[in-house]
Amino acid sequence: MKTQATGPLQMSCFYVGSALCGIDIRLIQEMNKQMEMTRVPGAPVYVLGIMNLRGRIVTIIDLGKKLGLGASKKTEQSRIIIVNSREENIGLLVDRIADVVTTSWEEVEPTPSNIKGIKGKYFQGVCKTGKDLVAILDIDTVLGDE
Amino acid sequence: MVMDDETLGMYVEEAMEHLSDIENDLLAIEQAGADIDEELVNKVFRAAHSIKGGAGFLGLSKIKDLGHKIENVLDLIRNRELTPTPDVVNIVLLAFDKLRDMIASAATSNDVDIDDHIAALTAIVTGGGQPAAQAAVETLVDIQDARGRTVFAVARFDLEQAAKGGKNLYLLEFDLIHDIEAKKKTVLDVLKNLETTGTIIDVKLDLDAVGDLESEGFTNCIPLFVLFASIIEADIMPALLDLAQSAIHVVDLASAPTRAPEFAQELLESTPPTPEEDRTDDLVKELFTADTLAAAVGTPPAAPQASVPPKEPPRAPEAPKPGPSKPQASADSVEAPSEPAPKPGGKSFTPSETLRVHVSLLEDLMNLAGELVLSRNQLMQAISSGVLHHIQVAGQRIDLVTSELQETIMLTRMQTIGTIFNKFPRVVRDLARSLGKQIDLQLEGNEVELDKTIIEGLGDPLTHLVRNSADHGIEPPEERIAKGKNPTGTILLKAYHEAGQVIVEIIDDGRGLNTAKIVEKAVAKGLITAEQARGMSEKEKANLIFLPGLSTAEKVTDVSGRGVGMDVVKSNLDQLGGQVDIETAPGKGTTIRIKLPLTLAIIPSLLVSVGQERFAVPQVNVDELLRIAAAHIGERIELVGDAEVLILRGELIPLVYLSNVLNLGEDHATAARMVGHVLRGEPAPEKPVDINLVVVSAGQFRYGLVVDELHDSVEIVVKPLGRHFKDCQGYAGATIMGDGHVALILDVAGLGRLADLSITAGLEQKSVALAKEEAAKTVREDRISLFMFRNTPQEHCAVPLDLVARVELIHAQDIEEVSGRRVIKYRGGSLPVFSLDQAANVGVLELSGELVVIVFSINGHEIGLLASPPVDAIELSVAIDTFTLRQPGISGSAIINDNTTLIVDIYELVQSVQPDWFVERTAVLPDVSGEGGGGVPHLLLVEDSEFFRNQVRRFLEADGYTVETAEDGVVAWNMLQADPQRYDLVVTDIEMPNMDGFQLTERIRSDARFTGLPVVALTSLASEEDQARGKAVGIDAYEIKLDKDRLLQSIYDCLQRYAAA
Repeated sequence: MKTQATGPLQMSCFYVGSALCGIDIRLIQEMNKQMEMTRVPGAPVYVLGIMNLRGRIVTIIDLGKKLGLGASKKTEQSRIIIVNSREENIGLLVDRIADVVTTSWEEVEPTPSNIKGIKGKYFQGVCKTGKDLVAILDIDTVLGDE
Repeated sequence: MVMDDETLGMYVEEAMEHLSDIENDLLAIEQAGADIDEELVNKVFRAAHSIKGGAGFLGLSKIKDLGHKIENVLDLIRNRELTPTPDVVNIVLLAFDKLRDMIASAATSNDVDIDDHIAALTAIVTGGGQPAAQAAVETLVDIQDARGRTVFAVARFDLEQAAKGGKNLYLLEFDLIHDIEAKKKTVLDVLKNLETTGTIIDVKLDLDAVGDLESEGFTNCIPLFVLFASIIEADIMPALLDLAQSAIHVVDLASAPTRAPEFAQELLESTPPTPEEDRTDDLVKELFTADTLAAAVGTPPAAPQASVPPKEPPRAPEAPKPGPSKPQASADSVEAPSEPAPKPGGKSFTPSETLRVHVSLLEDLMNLAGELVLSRNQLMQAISSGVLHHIQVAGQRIDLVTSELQETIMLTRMQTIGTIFNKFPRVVRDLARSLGKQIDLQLEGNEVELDKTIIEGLGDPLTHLVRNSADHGIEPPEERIAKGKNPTGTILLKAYHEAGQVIVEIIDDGRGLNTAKIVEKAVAKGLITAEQARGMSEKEKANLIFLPGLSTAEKVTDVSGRGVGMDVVKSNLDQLGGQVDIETAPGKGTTIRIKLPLTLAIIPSLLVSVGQERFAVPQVNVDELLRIAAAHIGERIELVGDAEVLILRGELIPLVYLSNVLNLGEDHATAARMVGHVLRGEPAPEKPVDINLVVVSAGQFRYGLVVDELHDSVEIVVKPLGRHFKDCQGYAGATIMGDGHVALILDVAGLGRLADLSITAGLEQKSVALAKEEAAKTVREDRISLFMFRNTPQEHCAVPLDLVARVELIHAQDIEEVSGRRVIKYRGGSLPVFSLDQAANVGVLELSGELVVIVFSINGHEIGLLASPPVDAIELSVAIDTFTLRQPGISGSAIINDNTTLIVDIYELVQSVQPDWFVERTAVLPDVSGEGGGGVPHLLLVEDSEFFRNQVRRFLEADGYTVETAEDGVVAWNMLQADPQRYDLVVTDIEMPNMDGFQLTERIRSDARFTGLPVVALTSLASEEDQARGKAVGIDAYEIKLDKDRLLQSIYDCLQRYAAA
């Protein structure tokens, strides 16, 4: 489904480091700033821990680390984006939430091989909004268990 | 297309349910043979029939065909025209297997090749049935609707079978739009309704009749044709079915125009004339193609040859097959309605997982949900009113409702173990056939319920174990006869509840395990040492089979020996929280016992913490909790090589630091640093800490898990971890604590692997422990376990811990004085109690407030000693002064924790309080010494502990023996050497320095001079393993330390026995 998708696209945008990324809004379950989590010793480095999301155990992933940009810092602006990937809720720690952008899949261009140091395979494409370039994350690839 | 996923899903689910019991029913039918249980055959028949009916409706033509053929065979069996021999049943079983496969992947079932099955089933029918059957099976009857279109082409045989018993045949024409949809019915409802009044022979949805938009005769209806047999008369059918008279056509078999006269005769006999005169003759038209006619004529009905082996009917490619999918040979050019189009290609259908729950349970849940809402409202109200008491009440209520809700929800997950058990009759039957054995499988406790996840996980290991029993356990009939056993072997599968767990047993009466061989193999593979093997009991040897890399299969058979060993079974069961245990008696059989928890979703767990982080340890893995005070680390923890081990009652248990194994970081490693400081002189932590540890075991692992703190035991709900943790060993999941935080659940076996503990550590450990023990013995003095209590609050007393059965806390009011004796009501009976001052000269215990009753079991009676709290149990090395404070009932004193403590001799005490409990044995002492002189038996008591030596010596002497003592095996051996004839019996401790009891006994047994010398062991090492080892070296009796009466009885028995010999 990398590029075949058509029709309107609503993206929720956020910053990971200095990279502006977006996720198809339909994949997002919620965003929160609940930062209390339990670390899991021995887990992959990009896993921050697990969290109780209303009775469910949710794995929290440091998106910066996962994408190879280095660890995110938890600040006032940090948020957790809960997405649904392969029947599982997973939380992504991002540095800052940006706008919701409405565009269409036809506007999405193929991904260059590298965006600000992030491997191209993690993206479904890029799209211009105003002066910014938003890279659309392919959640299932990013959260694939490699 | 009417078929949607939901309908198909319902069909698959229902069909699977029909199929679930079929195997066992068929096996029962096979067993009954000619003596047919009609009800049972009917049941299977109905199952096949429903499957066929639904398949026809959904356009699953292959399933329908196969179901139909099976039905034919069953019908013959039902009518006693065919005997269900094992061969017949086998074919039917195989056909059902195929059917199940096809239904499981219903969407692609039309592509499956079922010709073999069809041929085999047809062969049964034609070979075993009536003379006309063969032809009838081949002959097709076209059944046409009012417009003369052929709707069904059905084998005459099927029509005849259906019409038996005076049934009428109908062709019903429902209209999906007007008769079903508009009346708010569903097709399945209608079919089910029909099933209650008759038999559905075939169903077809006629999409072609709809025509297309261009065609003139656009009918605005979708006809659903049902070929139906029922005893109901035509005039009431419309009312019954809510269908117009014109949509009900009576099919008259007898009106078929052409047939051989014999057939006609027969048919007229078997098919009653249809009563209606106004039947529409042209509805039915018999079609005899040239070759089916030939086939029919070619089998002369006058020569019934039931014994002729079933032979393949002529099956030309165009050979008529029942069902709408067959090419129409009809002369009418009316286009045969095509079968409902197969499912859209590529889209595979997997039925979503469903669970059957009893309606009453759902109603309970509804009620509880209602309660919960109510309680919530109360709580909200209470909160807004701000009255604390109301909030508390509401909170309690919610607590109650929640627990009940939880329990009820858990109940919905429970399934009977019968769902797994019921597949075994077939498994065992097939196995028995292929192995040429006779095996009778018995099932018990089918109704026992277990959690769904456990049921699902249990199937594989259980299958493996049952296969093993059938393959390796049960002997071939010849061998069994030669052994004088019943040629039919028995395997009993049994499930029952015990102590909050479910026990599943697999019991066979086969040849049993060859433990010698298992041990040989285990030693050969280096899994255990020969030394260890010698010390093992039979049971332990049998349980070696669960070690990885060991399998007893002598030959690799088709059945087992596929590289899946018992270790896999064990690890599978471990995952379910189960324990497995094996017992075997050579030549008699094997019992495998599996203990399973009722549920996995909620488990009792112990909470522990390291630093700020909390973890849960499943209670099943917890053996005991220990706190080692900083001052005692040096005594309790030792270095073996560079590994730290805990010394626990003579056993060495490796230590695993949770902080290290999980790499929690330096700041969490206080406990490890503390131990390192004490044992290795490493820098000490800022302040000394006590060591808290949990002794855990899982499978072959047993170790001490060191944590910072031990908390409560709680029931936790297990939640799975996400996929990113699939490589993390050491966790069994996560749980949400009362405060909303998440805690990880530790996987004890996984942590053991992470810590690199070898699997067989438990076994090695023991031998190390023994060696260590001996080394340690030489340097330390008597180490005894004492139970500490007080008589009066100022008088400290102690009694050997081994003698204490239980301790109870009572109130002084509970004591009753009955006929001069004190008793308390206890477990539904009266327990005699006494205080120390009744028998010994000590302070008088004031009977008020809370008291402790120390219960002893003496000569089969229970008695309680009244004492004052606090009580404690300690293990210590102490010198006992057996002189200063000695008096009847008090064997001596010792300084314990700076207090002079009286050591109580419970036997003497009880003897003075309840003299009638002690049988006088002195009078009947056997005269065994003969030449030894004096008639008084001369005993040699070997015991390294002075305390025990004196104790035992005293009561032996009190019983009339003369006793000499030795401190260890070497001394004893020298004494025996010096005067071989002097002693009549040796009583020896096992654990002693220089030479232990085993070695001493070995020496005695290897010396011919001592053949008549009984040896009684007296020890606290009373594990089965030790007893077995004792037996092996020639110890006559094995007595636990300080059960005086049993020891005396045992000595007496030995002397008697040897005297007689």
